[in-house]
Amino acid sequence: MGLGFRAPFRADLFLNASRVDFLEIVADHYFDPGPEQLAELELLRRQFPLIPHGLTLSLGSAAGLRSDTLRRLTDLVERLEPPWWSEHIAFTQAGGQEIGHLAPVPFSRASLDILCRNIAVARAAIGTPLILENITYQTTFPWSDLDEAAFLGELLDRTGCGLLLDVTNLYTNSVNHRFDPVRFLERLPAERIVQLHFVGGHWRNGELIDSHSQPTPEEVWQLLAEVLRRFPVKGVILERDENIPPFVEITAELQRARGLWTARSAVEAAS
Amino acid sequence: MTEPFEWTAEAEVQDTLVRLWTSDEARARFLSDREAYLAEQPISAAARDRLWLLDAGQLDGFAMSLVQKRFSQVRALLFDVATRIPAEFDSRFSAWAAAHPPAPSQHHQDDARRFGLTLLKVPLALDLRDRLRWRLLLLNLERPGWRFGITRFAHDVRCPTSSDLPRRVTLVVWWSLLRFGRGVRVIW
Repeated sequence: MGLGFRAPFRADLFLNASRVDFLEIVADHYFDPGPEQLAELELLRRQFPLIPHGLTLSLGSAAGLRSDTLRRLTDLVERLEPPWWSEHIAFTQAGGQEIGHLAPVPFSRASLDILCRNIAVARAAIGTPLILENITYQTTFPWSDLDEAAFLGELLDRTGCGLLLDVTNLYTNSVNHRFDPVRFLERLPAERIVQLHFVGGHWRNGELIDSHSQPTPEEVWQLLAEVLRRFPVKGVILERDENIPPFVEITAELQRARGLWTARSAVEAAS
Repeated sequence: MTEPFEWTAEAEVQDTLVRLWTSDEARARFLSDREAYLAEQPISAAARDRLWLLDAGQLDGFAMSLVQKRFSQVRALLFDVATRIPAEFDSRFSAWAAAHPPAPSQHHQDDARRFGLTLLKVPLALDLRDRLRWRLLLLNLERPGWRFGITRFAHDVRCPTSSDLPRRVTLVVWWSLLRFGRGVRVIW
């Protein structure tokens, strides 16, 4: 049971180290690290296993990967020697222009080809296993020729990558695009789901936004329990970015997630 | 290596999408006359055909989300100023964001620094103490590997540093002290 590391957690994290099994760090924050960042990484690494989580590799870019970003990511992964690293199924730049956020790719055969090509390049540079995260999409593309579950299944199948299933993103998409998230889970390859994310978002103009800014809502807890019942995942991360609460609220959420995890383990042991 | 035709069209679509998402002016022109806007773009017919199909509401919605995301990150980084002049901060950020492309994901310090520097050039209802803190914040954003600090700055400034400052910063501060004498301006 782990936590997405953010600077405001720094002090409380070490006081509550026994409640956090591992940390996920935003890889891009440690590209070309200065002395302070190196010291921070070393301090964190001494206490927790660290998983690098990339944001700007832009695996969905049709123009290919940027070699400087890939080099920095490679350096970081080699430095940390994690069991796996992760990136998003998204693009973050095109034509030399940054988007500033994760943008969805169409669920199409062409997108699959692009992702497979870029993932092959990334994996050639970084030997550590890569897992891919599903994102939320506020925009859809009329030329998509697959639905998201089929797209994910084919992507995982073709690349051999694992899935970082963001349960909140799945819930958010199911609300905004009106589908049944449990039916979606039924179509995912169980053996490929390695890690989970969860957190709460907020509503804006009738749309659910994955802002990582709120406590995990009850609907996401229920979906997380369902996911843990179905899939033998290796790790779960609470990913709070904004509107950071007192740390006791963070540990309470981790404790609740740990309870779900333990219940799953008990059922497994009994069977 | 020559890319397959399909990928070339995908790259053209992505380039255009990014412009539409990040530029109010491009999006307004596209939404008012898609045919004219797409005809101006150096893209293939396949890319044009796809972009023609974009949903206007989703295009605006995602563009607004991108600005909101930038705003929340920049506001968190410039929190003191944002809370002292909330309405003006919001309106000026909206105008600024429309004209300035975003920094890469999670590199919001760069957005905050660029926006903060812009704000410093306009008259705002901030007192000198707030302005000084603000400049210090921007300085820290500009050089994330360093830590700049002030302990006393009204008068009788002797060594306006905190204990953990790198030596070079201390030297810069002292150099400024010698040059300008006492007072808050010495830092800069």
